[in-house]
Amino acid sequence: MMTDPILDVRDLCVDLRGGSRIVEDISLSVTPGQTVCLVGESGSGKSMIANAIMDLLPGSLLAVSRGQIRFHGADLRLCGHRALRELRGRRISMIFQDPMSALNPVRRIRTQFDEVFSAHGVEPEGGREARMLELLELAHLPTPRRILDAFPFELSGGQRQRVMISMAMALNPDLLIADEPTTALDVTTQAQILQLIAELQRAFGTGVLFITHDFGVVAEIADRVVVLRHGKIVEQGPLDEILRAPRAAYTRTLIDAVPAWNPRAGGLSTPALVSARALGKVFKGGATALDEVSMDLLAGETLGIVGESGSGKSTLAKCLIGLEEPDHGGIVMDGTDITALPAAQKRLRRHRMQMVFQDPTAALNPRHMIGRTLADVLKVNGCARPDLRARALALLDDVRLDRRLIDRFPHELSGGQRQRVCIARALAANPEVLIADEALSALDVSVQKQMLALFQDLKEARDLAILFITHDLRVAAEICDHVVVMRHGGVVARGTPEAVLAAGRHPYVEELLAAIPGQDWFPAGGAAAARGAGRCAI
Amino acid sequence: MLKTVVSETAKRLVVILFVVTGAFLLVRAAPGDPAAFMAGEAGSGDPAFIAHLRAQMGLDRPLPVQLGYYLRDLAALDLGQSYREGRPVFDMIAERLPNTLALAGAAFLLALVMGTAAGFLAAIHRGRLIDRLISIGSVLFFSSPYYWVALMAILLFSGKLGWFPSHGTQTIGAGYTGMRALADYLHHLVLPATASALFSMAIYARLVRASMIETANALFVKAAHARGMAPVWIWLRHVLRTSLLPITTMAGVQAGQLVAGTILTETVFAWPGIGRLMYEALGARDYNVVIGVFLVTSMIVILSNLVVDLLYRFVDPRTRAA
Repeated sequence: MMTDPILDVRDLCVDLRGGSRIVEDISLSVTPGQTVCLVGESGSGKSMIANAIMDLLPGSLLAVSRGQIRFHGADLRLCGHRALRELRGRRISMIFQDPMSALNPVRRIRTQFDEVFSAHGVEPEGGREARMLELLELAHLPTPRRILDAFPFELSGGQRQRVMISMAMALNPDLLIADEPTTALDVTTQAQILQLIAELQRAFGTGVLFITHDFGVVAEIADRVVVLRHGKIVEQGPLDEILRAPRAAYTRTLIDAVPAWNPRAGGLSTPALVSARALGKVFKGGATALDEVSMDLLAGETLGIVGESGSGKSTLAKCLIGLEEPDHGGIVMDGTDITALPAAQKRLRRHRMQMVFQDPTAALNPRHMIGRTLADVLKVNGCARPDLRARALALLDDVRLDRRLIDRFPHELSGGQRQRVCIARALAANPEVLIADEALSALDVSVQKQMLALFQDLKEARDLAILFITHDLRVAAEICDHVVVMRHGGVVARGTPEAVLAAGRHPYVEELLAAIPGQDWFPAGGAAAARGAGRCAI
Repeated sequence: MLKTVVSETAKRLVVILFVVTGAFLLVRAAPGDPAAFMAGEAGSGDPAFIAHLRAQMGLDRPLPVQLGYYLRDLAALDLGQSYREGRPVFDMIAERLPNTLALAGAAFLLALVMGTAAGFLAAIHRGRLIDRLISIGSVLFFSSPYYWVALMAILLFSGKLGWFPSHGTQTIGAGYTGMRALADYLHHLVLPATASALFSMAIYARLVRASMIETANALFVKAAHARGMAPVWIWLRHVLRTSLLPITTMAGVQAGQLVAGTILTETVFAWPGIGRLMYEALGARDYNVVIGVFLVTSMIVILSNLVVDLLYRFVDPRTRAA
C-alpha cells in the first residue's frame, strides 16, 4: 500500500544569488513514520536542502530557483511567509547539529520551551507546564522540573539535544528534519539520541528527514537513503538496496569510510618516551578530572585514549603538554620527572610534544595565511628566514596538501584541509610525540579515513609516537598499538586493542561497543568475539 | 549573593581610599595654594600674611600629617571647610549634587533609550536607508567636539528658535512653585541633558547595531525561526535581549563618565552642579572642595560600576556560575 508522502520535493534547485547553482534537481519524499537519510560529505548541500524546505536560507545569499516543495500536497514555495511560519514548529520541526548554540544562552529552558506554544497560540490540555514536563520525560530526561528551570549552559550536550527534540516534538509535527543532530555528541550519547528519535517517531507517526555524513548512523536508522554529492543526488533507494548493492562508486566510498571493526593485535616493546605517574587533578568546584592516572607512551607507537566526554582524556593530554598542571603525580621524560623541573627546562622538554586539536577552524588564526601560520612555528624552532618558505612548502607536501594553499587563508580551505594544516604546524616543531585530541571528530567519515592514513604514514616516515584521543572505539581499534580506556577521570582498562576489546571485556567497554551505530551492517562485537584470544589487563 | 556584594563593596572602598590619597597629593602638587590665592584676592602679597593664613589653614604642617587629619575627618564624613567660603564642603556638595544627578541621570537615560532604539532600528533595517541615516548620524555625534555641539545647540534652540532656555535651572524671577516649578526645571534640563547624551547615544547605537547583527546570525535565532516564531518577537526576545550584554558593560562605564563629564556641561550651560563647583574651586585652589567633589564623583563612578557588575549577573546567567 502506498501512503501519500508528507513531504515531496521535486526538481529542487538552489542558486547563489546572481551566481552558480549549488543544489540541483533534488527529488525526494518522506512518508508518515518513515526515516529518510540524506547522506553526503560537508559541502554536498544537505543542510541547504533542509533549510530550503524550512524557508530558512539566508535570503541575501541563496534562493530556491526552481522546483516544488510539497507538504501534504501543497507547494510550500507558493505559501506566504505567514502560512509558512504557521507550519514551522507546528507541523514541520527541525533539530540542529550543535545543541549548545541552538538554545539561547541567557534564557531558561522553560521560557524557550514555552515559546513553542505561544508562537502558535496552542494551549495543550492540562496546561503548558504539564505538557512540557511530559515531553521532557518522554525524552528520558531524569529531572524534568530541574531542566525547565535550568539555563542551557547548566546542561550537558546530550541533555540539550534531548531538550531540543522535546521542543521539536511538542506540537506533534508530521515531519521532523534532523540536521546532523548527533555529530557533536559522544558515541554513547549518539546511540541514545538515535534511539529516542526512533521511539518518538513510532509514538507520533512522524516522518523524519535525517541528515548525516556517517553511513554507520544511516545503517542504524534509515528506511530510505538519498546519497548526495556536489549538490546532486548520486543515487537513492531503500536502505538494504543501497547498503548491499550500491550502484554509484561514490556511495561505495562513503560506505567503506565507516571504520571497519578489526582490533589490531598491536603490542610493541620499545622504551617509554613519556610516562604519566599517578596523575591527579581536581577542578575548582570539586569535579575529578584525573584520578591516579598512569600510562606509558612507547617510542614509535600509537596509543589510543578512549572515553566519553568528561572522562578526563583531554585533561590528561593537557597535563602532558603543559597546558594544565596536575595537582599531584609526575610526568617522566628521559628518566626525569619534568613536573619538578624549572619552567624553562619544562618548556624545552614539552617542545618535543605537539598537539592537534579537535576544531581546526578555531585552532587557526583566521587572519594569517597558511604560509605565515607555518613560518611562525618554524621561526621559533630556529629556521633561518630565507629557508622559511621552502620548509613550509615541504611541510605541506608531508601532509599531502597542494603547495598553492600556502598563500590562502583558513576560510578558503575545507575542514579536512584545515586539519592537515594543523598537523603540518605541529610537525613544524619537529616533535617526537604528536597528541591528536579528537582530531578527527569534527571531520566527515570519508575525510577521517584519509586522515587516519596520513597519521599512519607520518608515524612511519618520521618515527613519531602518537597519542590518539578519541571517543570512537573503532578508530582506536584499527590504528593503535595500545589502548587506554578512561571513565570519570580513571583508567578502566588498558592493553593491546585485541586484549582490551576482545573477550572478557570490561562492562564499560561493552557499553561503548554497543553504542557504535550500524552494527548489523558493520559488526562490532562479532569479529572480535570470534577471535576470542584476549587478555584483559587492568 | 550577599557575600558577593560585601566583597565587591570592600574592594571598592580600598579603591576610594587610593583615589582620595591620590587626589589629596595631586592637588597639593599644583603650584599655588589657597593661602596665596586669598592673599592675592585681599590685595596683599606679604609673605608674613601668607604664612599666617597657611598656619591658620593648617597648611604649614607636613603633608603626611595633613593627610592623616583629612582621612580622620573623612571617616566621620567630614569633608572639611571651604577655605574660600568658610562653609562645610559637605553642605556645599549636598546643595548642588541633586542638580548634577538630575543632569547626568537624564542624559544617561536619554542616551541609553534613544541609542538602543536607534541601534535596534538600524539592525533590523540593515543596509537600507534608515540604517544608513542612523549610521551617519552616529558618526557625526561621535566625532563632533562636545563643546561645539553644546554651543551650536544653544545658538539654534535657544537663540534662534527660542524653544529652550540656555542656562540655569529655573526662570529667574518667575517664582514658580509645585508642578510649575518642576516643569520649569525640566524645561531647563532639556538642552544640557540632550547635548551631553549625544556622544553616548552614538556609541550605544553603534554597539547595539553591531551586536544585534552578530546575534542575528546565531543558530538559536535560526532555531527560533524554525519554531515558527514571529520575526518581531525573535528580534525582541532573542536578538535584542542577548545583544544587551555588551551594552550593560558599556552603560556602567558611561554612567560614571557622564557624572565626571558634567564639569564641561555645567560650565557651558551655567548649570549649578558639582561640576561647576569643582571648576570654580580649582581656580581658587580651594583644596577641600576640589578633593570633596573628586571623592563624590569617584564614588558615583565606582558605585555605577558596582551596580553594573551585580546587574550583569542577572543579565547573563553564565557569569553566575563562574
